Amino acid sequence: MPVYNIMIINNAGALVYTYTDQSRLLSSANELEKTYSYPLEPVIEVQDSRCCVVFGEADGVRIGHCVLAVNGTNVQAGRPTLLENGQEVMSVLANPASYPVSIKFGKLKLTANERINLAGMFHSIYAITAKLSPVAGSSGLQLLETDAYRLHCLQTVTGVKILVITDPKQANVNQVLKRIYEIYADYALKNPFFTMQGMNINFTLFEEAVQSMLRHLDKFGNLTNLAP
Amino acid sequence: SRSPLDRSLLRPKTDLPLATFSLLLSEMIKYSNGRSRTVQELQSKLADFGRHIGSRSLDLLFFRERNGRRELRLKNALFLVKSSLWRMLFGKDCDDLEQSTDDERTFYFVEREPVTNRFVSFSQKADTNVNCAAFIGGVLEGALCSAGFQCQVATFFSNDVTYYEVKFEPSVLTRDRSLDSR
Repeated sequence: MPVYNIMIINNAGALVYTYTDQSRLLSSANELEKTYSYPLEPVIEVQDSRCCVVFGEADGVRIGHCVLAVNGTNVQAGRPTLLENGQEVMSVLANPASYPVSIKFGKLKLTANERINLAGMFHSIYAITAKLSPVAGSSGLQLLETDAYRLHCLQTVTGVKILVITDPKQANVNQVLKRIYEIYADYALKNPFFTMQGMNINFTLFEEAVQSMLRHLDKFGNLTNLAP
Repeated sequence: SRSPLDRSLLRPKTDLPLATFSLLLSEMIKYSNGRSRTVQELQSKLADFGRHIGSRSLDLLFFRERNGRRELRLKNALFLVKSSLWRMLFGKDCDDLEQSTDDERTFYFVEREPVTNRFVSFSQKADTNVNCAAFIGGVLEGALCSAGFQCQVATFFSNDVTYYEVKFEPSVLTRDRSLDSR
């Protein structure tokens, strides 16, 4: 799938729409499993209510990797410091009797709350970047690049921000941003049941239009002949 | 140098400005929604808006396109609404017109994509069944009643298709039957 994530932030900084590419989350390419003996080499601590590697990168295990499973038992979905059998991850790892232990590392999904917080933070960062400009009338942050993804941002005249997170090599993202803006103007702004006060966008026609755009992009690589 | 007054109503040159109409209609719906407590109330308020349009467009149609010739028979009036009135207002015919099998007073106009519902949708989990095409139902009722065929129109969804159920007064049917015998 060409687009990993789509987010729409309204002019007050609240996240009103999220799309996440589900297939990417399920791919096991991001996960790795390693067996360790006591004492544990990577240092694992609880951060943001999940167990992460904070020190001791080795063999592909990096700082920031979260514990997804211990000895084959997955962590609980809502509380990643606990395993599905009720045991605490940190206690299992601190107990020499559990060793040798096999730990599966990977990236845990962002929770909805985290997403909302990050969106609010981005809203502020956008304003800061606009203020830092040496020339008048500059826009804020439009493109952010890391080695794993690119984040594109389009701010509309009303202050609504459309964010799209894609593969670094994905082309024609400006067309995608414009098209999402059109979809928002059609199926959200013209919908009498959409109240502007921070309400989540959850409409069938909106979702269908986004899906159809993504399918077209997947098939053709661009949106030039997209039927309106 | 044809002025707008000379152009045919049935083949409109300019397309309906859908965005403008949708934004205006959206405000009308929000206004009505704020003053209604049930779905039926909302739909009947939208139909009230439509009724004004129906009677006015009928006058316009008879005067400009048909030289003042009125329809006196029920079936002909229904066909006139289905084709000419719809074409004048929406640029296309109504999709279908059916008569109810159990009741000779009831007819159904069928429309798959009413222009009022073009941008309106609900969340997948919602069970709201507001049909904003109640506005068009009101247009229909206003037109037929002004033409002398008293009726009541109800708008509802069935399998994602919009039905306008037209129920005529018994006097209309009696009058129509008496014209048959002439």
